Amino acid sequence: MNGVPWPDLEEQRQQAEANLLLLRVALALIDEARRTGAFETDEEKLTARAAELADEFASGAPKGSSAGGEARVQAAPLTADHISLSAPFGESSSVDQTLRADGVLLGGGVSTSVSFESIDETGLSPEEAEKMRQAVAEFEAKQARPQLGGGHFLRALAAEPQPGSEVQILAAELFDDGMLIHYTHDQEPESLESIVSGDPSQWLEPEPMLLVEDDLGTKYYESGGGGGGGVQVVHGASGFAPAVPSEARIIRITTDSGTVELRL
Amino acid sequence: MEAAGEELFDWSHISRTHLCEASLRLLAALGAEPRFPGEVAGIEALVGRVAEGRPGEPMDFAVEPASELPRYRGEHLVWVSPAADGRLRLRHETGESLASEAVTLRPDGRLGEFETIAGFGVPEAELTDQAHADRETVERRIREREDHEANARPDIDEGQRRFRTEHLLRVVAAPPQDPAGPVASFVALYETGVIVYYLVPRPPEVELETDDPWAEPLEAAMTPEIELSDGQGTTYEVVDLDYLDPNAPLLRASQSFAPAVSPTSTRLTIGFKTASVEIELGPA
Repeated sequence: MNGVPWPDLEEQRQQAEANLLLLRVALALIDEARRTGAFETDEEKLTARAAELADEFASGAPKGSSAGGEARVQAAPLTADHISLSAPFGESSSVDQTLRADGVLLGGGVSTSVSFESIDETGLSPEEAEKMRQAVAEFEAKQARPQLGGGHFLRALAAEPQPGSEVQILAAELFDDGMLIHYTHDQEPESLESIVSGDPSQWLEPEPMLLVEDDLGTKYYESGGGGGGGVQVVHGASGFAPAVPSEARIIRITTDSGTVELRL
Repeated sequence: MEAAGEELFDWSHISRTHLCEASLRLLAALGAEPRFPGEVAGIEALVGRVAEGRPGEPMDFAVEPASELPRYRGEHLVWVSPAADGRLRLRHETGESLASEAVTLRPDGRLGEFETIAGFGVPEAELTDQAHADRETVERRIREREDHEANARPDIDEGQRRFRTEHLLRVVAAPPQDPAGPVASFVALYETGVIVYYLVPRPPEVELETDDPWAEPLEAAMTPEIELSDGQGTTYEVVDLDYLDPNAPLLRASQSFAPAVSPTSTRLTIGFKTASVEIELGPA
């Protein structure tokens, strides 16, 4: 679960500055809209005007564009009385907003773009090249596995109580292309300070490892589902595919806490 | 907690953002007028024309005369007052203490420099009767809030612990139902409540598209009204909602209820608006 970058204080400062710059540009565009009766609908003109205003308001910084070569604030017409605004910050993030002509911001957020670079195999060591081939093969194999779509529900199977087990299986929901295993487990709450200062990739409780088998030896692959939330208790579900064969009579679900049998 | 809170959140940035958003609405409400009103009555009329935002959004305005000490009510208010040259002065009261951020808005949409105001901005000896009264109001509100938080803590703790595993009694699957509408899948019975797991057919995309920017049709579809009946007249209240997969063709969600189903109840009827299903609970 590692690897999700959490904005450090410097990035948070950059985000705050980008947000305020976007809002200053929005104010100037609202002023122009109220005087002319509408937002500029020509995308090129609106884009240029937003960039010009951003330069005007970004005091002290070099004129023209942000570090990434983009305008400090980008704008685009959406409808007759809506425009979108975006202010890039950091390496590849931006603050985004939709502005209505009556001055109301219709919600927005922060987005981070991710780019992929092709790897030149000729520059890799034999070990690195082998690792890459294995990763690609693994990915392709995973893509070829059966997937749970979950479009046609068949029935649910309730699990017997498992008092004392850390992870407790609640039920299996059977679909025509797989199943969802519902589980629950307790967790201790974290303090607000540790949540705010910590790595957000650690906020999500890791899903418990589930192994699903039946009495026919069917191979089940993880597919979808997702951990649930909660402050002191987690309710989640993990998906598996393919569908349980009609001839199967028992499903076994094994966790670190033990094995639960569901009779079909 | 206040000291820790100040370290965790940049309140001045939150206030400044709030001031910008308030400025957007005031400027849009100005229409074709070349200047902001220079008197309180005119500003009150302007504030009355400000567009409403998201339901429940805290964007409340109050008007104060210029050249008087700042007012405080202990709420997250944007105080608006006239300023020279057809401008407005906006001040956001943090609501957490006697502090505010202020900025001047020109009728051409330009903002002046942000200003942080501690208290009333004057020495103690210069405080007016109104300032003393405001200070008492804010201090009383802070005390009331702290008392409320202290009193609410046990309820919050109880709510967070209600469905921990030590309270789980058993799970009962629901019988087959018509898949055209919401389908109850199973119920988890706890000593402290009951969780109903269900599936809802995903509405057609055309029903998910709406011109209302505040509408949340997918969430609405995932949270159908559910009425529980145990034949004993118990009144069940929803205490939690959980969405498991908003992207699936069958939306999966759960609703948690309290109180617990009585051990003497032998069946539980789950009533959706369009259908209901009776679950045999069997022996406790």
